[in-house]
Amino acid sequence: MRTIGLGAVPKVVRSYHSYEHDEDPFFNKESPKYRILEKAMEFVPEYGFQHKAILESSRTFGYSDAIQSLFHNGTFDLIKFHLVRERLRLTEVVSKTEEFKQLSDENTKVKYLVKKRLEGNVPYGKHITQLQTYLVLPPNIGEASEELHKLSDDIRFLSGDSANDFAWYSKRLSLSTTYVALETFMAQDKSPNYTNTFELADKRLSNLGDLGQVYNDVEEFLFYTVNSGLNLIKSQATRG
Amino acid sequence: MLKMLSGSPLRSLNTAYSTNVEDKSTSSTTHFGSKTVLASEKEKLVGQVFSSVASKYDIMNDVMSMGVHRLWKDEFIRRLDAGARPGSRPLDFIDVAGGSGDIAFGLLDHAKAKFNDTKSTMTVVDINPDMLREGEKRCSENHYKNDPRIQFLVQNGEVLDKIEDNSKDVYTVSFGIRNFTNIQAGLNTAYRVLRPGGVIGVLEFSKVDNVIVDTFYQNWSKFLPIFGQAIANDYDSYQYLVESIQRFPKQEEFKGMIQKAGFYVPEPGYQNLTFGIAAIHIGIKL
Repeated sequence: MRTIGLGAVPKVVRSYHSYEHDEDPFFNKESPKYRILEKAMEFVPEYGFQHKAILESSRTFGYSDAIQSLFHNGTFDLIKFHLVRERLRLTEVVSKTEEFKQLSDENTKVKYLVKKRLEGNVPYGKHITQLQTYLVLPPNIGEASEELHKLSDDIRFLSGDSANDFAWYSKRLSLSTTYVALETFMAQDKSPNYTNTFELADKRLSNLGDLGQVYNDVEEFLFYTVNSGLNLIKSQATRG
Repeated sequence: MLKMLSGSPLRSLNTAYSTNVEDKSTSSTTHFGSKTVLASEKEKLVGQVFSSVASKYDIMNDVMSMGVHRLWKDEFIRRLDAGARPGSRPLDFIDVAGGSGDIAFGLLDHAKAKFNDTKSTMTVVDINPDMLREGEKRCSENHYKNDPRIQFLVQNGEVLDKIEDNSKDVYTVSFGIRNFTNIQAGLNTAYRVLRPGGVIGVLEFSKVDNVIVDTFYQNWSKFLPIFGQAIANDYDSYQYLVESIQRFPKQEEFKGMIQKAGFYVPEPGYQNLTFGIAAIHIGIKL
């Protein structure tokens, strides 16, 4: 893009990221719904991502079971709470952790954040398969993929991504795929403290950074081929 | 009074109690349809309307809403998703202005089907003995016949003097609260009788949010009293129903009233049904 002007051209850097995704209104720490779900997460290691965890939580507050009307999406409310909370935690990590600020390049930062996010799953490790099963159910998959996109978008953005071309998509898409793969691996991982998962994360993410460039190269190549192909046809056609 | 008027369907209700309207300088007044009446009179007038329509209530609802009210009620029951979960004590339901009993039976059916809950109790109250008799009659004809869990009580929803504080878990009122003389008092009473964690669910006509649908809806409303005349031989009562719907507060305003009664209203506050012709409001007593 070119800016026409006589004076100094202001350098406009706009990253394509919404600073504040529209959060679900229930994701307000003051709301009773938040408090019940937060407490319910403590029951998840025991009961899994099940409505039972919400039920037990609301009972500890002394509420009638009728309050379950609040959670008409049942289990998905709980799962979504987990996903959103862990994603938002990353923003805190970035602003509060000195370790993160020391990191130099984008790729290391992505790696760091993905691992942080995976750490968020550790307490619920044995229920990840169940969580993933819920996420791919037809009624949930739309919201689930949106949440996944927000996660990779946040990670990319927080790591300093400034792509504004096709790489924007490819970077997020590739991160999403990698993340899902890692989580699936984690669900089966029996190693202590999920060391295997974190090792795999290191490996998988090392060449992730090149992907954006690869996509751009492919795009450029395709454009060139199509263009010259068209020119070839044109030149043949005009010869009559 | 309405019965007396039925021979001349187009006469306005107004004539029957015009003296009261003139009297408003001395006492508090409220709306009865589009008319202003003494607050003390409204209860009686609404009573007459429902006494008059009780036996034809269901068929008229079907005609007026083109059958959609059944879907709304189903959605309402699904949305509340009430019932005793495994390991819990039975819940206590109260269905206010629930004379016809369809919400009451629906809630119990849902609780049984979804949570295998066959213990929760249901109190159906209505200010109008005629409407309540209608519900009792239906109850004696369906699978809740002689079920000790269901009881019917003639009660004023604004007071509920036979219902103790903190004694109910789920309070429902469907297409009833707009007939209360003092809606806020009704909501406050709901708050009183519910236990902490208890839920109030209100299904009520509301304001249409789509201009085209609204135009259609407003014109449709004009025909309702005529249907009323044709099917139930009662023009004025249906005229009142239409006007009371138009008088009822908008979604946001009503949400505010629920909050004012002390309830926590979860986001987004209400759920519109069919472009807002009706709306579901939920509140939680914390």
